[in-house]
Amino acid sequence: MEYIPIKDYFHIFVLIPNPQLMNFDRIKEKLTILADAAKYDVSCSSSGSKRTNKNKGLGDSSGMGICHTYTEDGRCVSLLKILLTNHCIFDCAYCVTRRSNDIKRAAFKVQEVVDLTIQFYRRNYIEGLFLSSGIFKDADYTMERLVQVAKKLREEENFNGYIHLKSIPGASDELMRAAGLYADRLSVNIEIPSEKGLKLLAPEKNRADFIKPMQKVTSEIIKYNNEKKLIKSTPVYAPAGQSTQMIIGASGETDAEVMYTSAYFYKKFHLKRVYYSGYVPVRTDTILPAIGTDVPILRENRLYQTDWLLRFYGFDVRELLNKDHPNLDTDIDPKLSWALRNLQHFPVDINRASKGMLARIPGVGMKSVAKILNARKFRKLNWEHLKAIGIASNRAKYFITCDSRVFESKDRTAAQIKGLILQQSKSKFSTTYSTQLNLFAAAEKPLLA
Amino acid sequence: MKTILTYDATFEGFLSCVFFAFEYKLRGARIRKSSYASENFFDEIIFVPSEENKANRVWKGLAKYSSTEGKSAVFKAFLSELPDIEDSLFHYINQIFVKRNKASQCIKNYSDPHILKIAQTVKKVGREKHRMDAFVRFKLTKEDLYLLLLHQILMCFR
Repeated sequence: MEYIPIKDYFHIFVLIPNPQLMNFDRIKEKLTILADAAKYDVSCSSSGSKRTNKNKGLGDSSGMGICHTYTEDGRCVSLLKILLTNHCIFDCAYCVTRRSNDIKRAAFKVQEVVDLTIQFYRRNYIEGLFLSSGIFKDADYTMERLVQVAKKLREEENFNGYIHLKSIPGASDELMRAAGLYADRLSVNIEIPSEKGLKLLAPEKNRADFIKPMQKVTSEIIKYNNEKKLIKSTPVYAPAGQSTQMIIGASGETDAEVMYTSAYFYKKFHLKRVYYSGYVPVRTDTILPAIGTDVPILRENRLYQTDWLLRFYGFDVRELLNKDHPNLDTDIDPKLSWALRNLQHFPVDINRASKGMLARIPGVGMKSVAKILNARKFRKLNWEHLKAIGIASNRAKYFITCDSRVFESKDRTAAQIKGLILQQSKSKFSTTYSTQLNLFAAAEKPLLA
Repeated sequence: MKTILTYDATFEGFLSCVFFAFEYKLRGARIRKSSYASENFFDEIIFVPSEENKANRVWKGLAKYSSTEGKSAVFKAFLSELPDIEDSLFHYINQIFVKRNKASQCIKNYSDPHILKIAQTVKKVGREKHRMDAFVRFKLTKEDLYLLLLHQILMCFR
């Protein structure tokens, strides 16, 4: 079966709320403004929550990751992702909805968001709601509205789908507690990885305000989980946990700074995910990259790869990024880069190595590791088995031995291995990391935009 | 000369074929849908009618010796309707009934090409099912019914 991405779904569902709605045109206009403003939030997964259908209510949120609809540029949108309003009292340099920006403003009523969510959900356009907001009046006032939407959906509409709420920095503990009772996931965007960057770009905000609601939710989650062990009927509290987002490439941090911050948040606040969002230039300013600068997609990708290595592959952030290597390589992935710096651990015998060591072989993912562990109980594995299982043998072959007399027996240096791998592989990002001027690429994309 | 057992393209029919193969000790037989036409003159083609009680006995046997995952893999892979999937499934079912007490581990033997193929096919079928969950769109009609035109969606994936 061939898969054809269905383009423009995002726009379809921006454009057609249910025509039977009361003031259809006004709602449509608001949706266009507020769904567009919300696209800068990259988090769109709705995994990790198990909320079952109760009392013949509407829907459930099953455990699977939902990748629902695809935007034109290939991102998936599984949630109705909107802002309650794009009015904001803050003036953060990196944000489109900042106070000083001259854009069309709009706001939803609480009931309007509830109705829209239910209508889209019933027609199976969405798996749930992702609700964020600009801050109007003050943090508590805004947070209260967000919680109200979630509460109405759960209690009045008996909605069991997925709800992701933004925690507004500086919101009070009571509201955060209530938010967790109705939402599946809560998130605070810390936006700028370092404190000095935050001072520069959003002088009205401070780090402590971001941390406070996050801290509260973390402690509540721990509390509820402990209670659940004793009393089974304890209500669920934010079952899909917390996440956060950082903007990459706006304030000049190194990759090491970004990942150390992220590792700190994973450890300290038990976050489920940290999202990295390449900065999309939105204004002409001297302190930020100019409009027309490329969004750092490749860097974003490498950061996510590193993130995965930390969470699933048992790497420590200090192994991947340290004083000698403050930035990730652009041309090779972080695991290969680590392996080339630590050739003393290789070659690894596929039929004997521990799970942890298998996970460290470049070109072998966790799915393959699980398959290898199971398969080698039955027999010794050779190259054919490994290829069928699906490892990327063009990278892995320099780092492993298996039940075969054929293997890379030459004693190569790291630079030689890297050269060979790059020669034999083609990355979809290869155009972005070539610094050499290219006669024909220049015609497609002007050098000076 | 090969023996080819054909069935009516139903899951019961397939399990009946498996039963037939065990009954007449045709472990090397191939199983094909009844629409199958042999490429050569010498193959012996036997049509096996679908019988519910025989199918049930095979299914119960699978339930007894393999894990839940291992059993449901048979059904899910069958749903893929890939041309030669019956061979892989027959091989796998053979393994289960030969190994008996170790049968629940069979599905994890990824070094066996047939079983690896089944595991990969199960994944494919799961994805296809998930796409159906994700991409169907309902319309609200005037009678307050939610209506769905499935064949349009199916056309998108062809």
